[in-house]
Amino acid sequence: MADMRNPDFNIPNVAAAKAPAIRCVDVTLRVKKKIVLDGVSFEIPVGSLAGLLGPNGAGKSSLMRILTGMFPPDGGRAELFCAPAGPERLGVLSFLPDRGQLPPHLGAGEWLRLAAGLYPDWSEARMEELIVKLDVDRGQRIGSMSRGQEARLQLLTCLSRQAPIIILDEPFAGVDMVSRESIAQAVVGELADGERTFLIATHDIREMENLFDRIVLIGEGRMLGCHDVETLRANGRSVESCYRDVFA
Amino acid sequence: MSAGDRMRERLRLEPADKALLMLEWRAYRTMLPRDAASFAYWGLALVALLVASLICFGDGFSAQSIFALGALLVFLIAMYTGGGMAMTVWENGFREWWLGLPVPRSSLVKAKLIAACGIQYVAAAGIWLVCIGHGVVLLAVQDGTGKMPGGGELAVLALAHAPLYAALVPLGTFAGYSLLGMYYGWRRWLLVPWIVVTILPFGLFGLLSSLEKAAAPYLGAGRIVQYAIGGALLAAAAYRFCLWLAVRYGIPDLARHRPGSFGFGSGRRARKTAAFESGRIGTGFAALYALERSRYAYWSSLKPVRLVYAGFLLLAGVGGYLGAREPLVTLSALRAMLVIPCIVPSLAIAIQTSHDANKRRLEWWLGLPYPRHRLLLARFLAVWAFVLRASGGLLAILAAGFALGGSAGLDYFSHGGRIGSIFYVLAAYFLCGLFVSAIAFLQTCTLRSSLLGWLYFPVGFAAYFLPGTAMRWAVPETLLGGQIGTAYWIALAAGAALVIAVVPLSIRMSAKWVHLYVFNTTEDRLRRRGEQAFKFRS
Amino acid sequence: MPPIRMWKPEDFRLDPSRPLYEQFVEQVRAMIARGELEPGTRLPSVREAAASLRVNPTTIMKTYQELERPGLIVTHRGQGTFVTEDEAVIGLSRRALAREAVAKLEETARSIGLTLDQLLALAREKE
Repeated sequence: MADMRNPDFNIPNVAAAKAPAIRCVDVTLRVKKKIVLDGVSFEIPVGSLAGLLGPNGAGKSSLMRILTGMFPPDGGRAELFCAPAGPERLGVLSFLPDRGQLPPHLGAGEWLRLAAGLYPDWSEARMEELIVKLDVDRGQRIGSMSRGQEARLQLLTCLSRQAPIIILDEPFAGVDMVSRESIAQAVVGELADGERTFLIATHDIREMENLFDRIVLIGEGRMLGCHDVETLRANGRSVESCYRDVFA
Repeated sequence: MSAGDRMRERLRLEPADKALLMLEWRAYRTMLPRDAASFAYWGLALVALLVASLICFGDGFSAQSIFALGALLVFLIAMYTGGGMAMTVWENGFREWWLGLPVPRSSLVKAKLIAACGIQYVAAAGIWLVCIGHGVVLLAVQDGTGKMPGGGELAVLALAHAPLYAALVPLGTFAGYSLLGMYYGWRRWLLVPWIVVTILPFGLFGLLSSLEKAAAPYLGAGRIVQYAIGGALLAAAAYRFCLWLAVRYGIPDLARHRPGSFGFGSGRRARKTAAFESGRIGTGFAALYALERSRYAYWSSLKPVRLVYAGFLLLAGVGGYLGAREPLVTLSALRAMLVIPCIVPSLAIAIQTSHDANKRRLEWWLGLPYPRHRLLLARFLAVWAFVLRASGGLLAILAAGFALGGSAGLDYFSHGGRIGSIFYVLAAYFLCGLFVSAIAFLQTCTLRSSLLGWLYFPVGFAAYFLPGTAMRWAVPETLLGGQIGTAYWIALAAGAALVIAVVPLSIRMSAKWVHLYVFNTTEDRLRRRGEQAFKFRS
Repeated sequence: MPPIRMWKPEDFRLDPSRPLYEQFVEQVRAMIARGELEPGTRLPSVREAAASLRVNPTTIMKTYQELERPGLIVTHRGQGTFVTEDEAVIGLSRRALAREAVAKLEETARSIGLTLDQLLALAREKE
């Protein structure tokens, strides 16, 4: 087998019969009587890079907030490695909130030093590596950063942790093309050890479609499909065409 | 051109100005009573205010001082709302659209000022009615001791205060709004007088509320009308000043401003703060605390803030020095000042989390791998550490000034256990502050259900007045400079026990619901309200 | 050690509605056939290639597996992945490519009712 010869081939097969990293069973959520999520079910296997796709207001952020334990679902189960999601599970996941902001009064370096103390799974080595890759200036005050600079710093924070699940909510929103590319590159670099699982919500299908190996489509709070991307392509469909078929 | 024509010319509105005024007014219009339900809310709110004023100032306050307190309230509300609105302009998402409107910049500012005055007049009228109501109720129930004036006098007083309130509304609004021009450059120095003006009325508050029985000649109806004229003149000056400052500096600054960055320290480079220079941040809870602390460390490292604080230190020192001759007055003044450190932490706790949610910083914070009560605890400890450090510095300087001011003061306190009264006052206010800030955590529960919201609202509102009013009962004037009886020390210990129980409890409760802020950003609420309004109409 | 041939996204033309690894395999085979990738050239690791091409590492892994099967690339443990230096293997691959191309052309000819020779003759006919 090739796996034995190439050190880079130690990536577990996506189809391996392992427990899924993320599992949602019939997840339902209401906010002030409005149904935001209505029976969403899907699984993301360990080591995969899944896209969570859907138009604005589809419930993507709410679903991610449930997975990150911000709040519990009103019905159904959201599980990480077969145990329910919740604030006490924050150690196993690294979350990039949509349009989130870091404390603006801190310098990037100060924030990173705080983060090293705040996250028990922080890796200094990885951080140093990513500072170069993502071109982050440690001396700059966060409040004075451009959207792209701050997005890179936030991703750097997420990826410098060793948490096995990484959830990114719109990592490209308002980010320039060069930053997008370096963010996408950094994500791939982290994926290659095959132990980390990514769930990424994005509207930027073109930038990401070659990266996803699985896509989850939701619209108006309902599950509209969960596909293996290679199977889609084997049937002559692209992620983009699939998205158009469902939502256009 | 006659004076009348000129006046009309000045008041004539261009169509664009009219539209602009409508736009600004639209932001406030929803607050006005417009249907049965909102009339009921307004009625209830006024009755609640009346009841509160009767409870707080019912016994022995003259009608004059009630009206005077009302005037202060009118001014304060106008000033704080004006300042608050001026601050929100900087972070408003509509800002750049607004700046891009093809009208003179003075029109932009004028529309804001006029609309703000409009809503403030409604609030002032409410306060005026409450003051009259207060007078009428006392008139009805008075036992003939003659503390209250007759009906005729009350009417004269009410009529005299109407123009005063009418003048204070624009004065407060314009003064508050002038903050719009104080974000950058040398204008930041204007913050010092601005802050003094916003705090000064609180001092008057204490003064007026201690004028219990006697009718003060300077609060007579004739004098009040004179004040009204003075106020109107000042308001005209404030209008000129505010418009000039905003058009000449505020709007250009606004156009350059980057939302999310602070007005201060707009520099690109991070400044080094002591906490980080030492190189040790620690891990776990220590890092959490360092994160919370960093915001105060940053703010207090800013030059304008340091200058203001230095000013206060100087005042404290001079005050202590001069106060040594009148030790009792000094202690009494100190007590009045202690209200501020009591309220600051609860304000910080009440505002920070929702502000973080609005700024989309909350999810990073809630995403930190710690139980939520520890996040809140770090926040609580950080604000208290900051407040204690800042007020500790002031107290130390005050004490030093007092010691240098002569032996009379020291002698006074060295006799008969009088020194104990200082400790008693400090401890009592510290406990009160802890209690009030713990109550502020419970605000989170209001997001859980609107019923809890209605229940919490009066409690939370009353809590802000606790240090100012209820503490007069816990630390009566007679106690100052005297020997503190054992009963009081026992009461203090009981208070401490209460605080020790309440703080963890309210932190736990808050931790349970704090995530609901994520759903309750201003944006979310506006969106929901918009949906509702739409439903009603369609 | 020979220099690494790093790839940029512009080096490949990808159709997102076909399996990506197939397209990489085709295009790398062509690169080797026309000598753009010289024998013995060191290829980037799966991680490096995936990051610089911004595709899923599984795709690159499958691509390398497919290219290793006929021996077009070889992996020396601890050293990396290289284009084969075995000219015979490259020759075989080139011949396979030629056969595929001819087969495709024959199909086209058939679809318009011609044999391959007729198709070529027709195309070369002067005006």
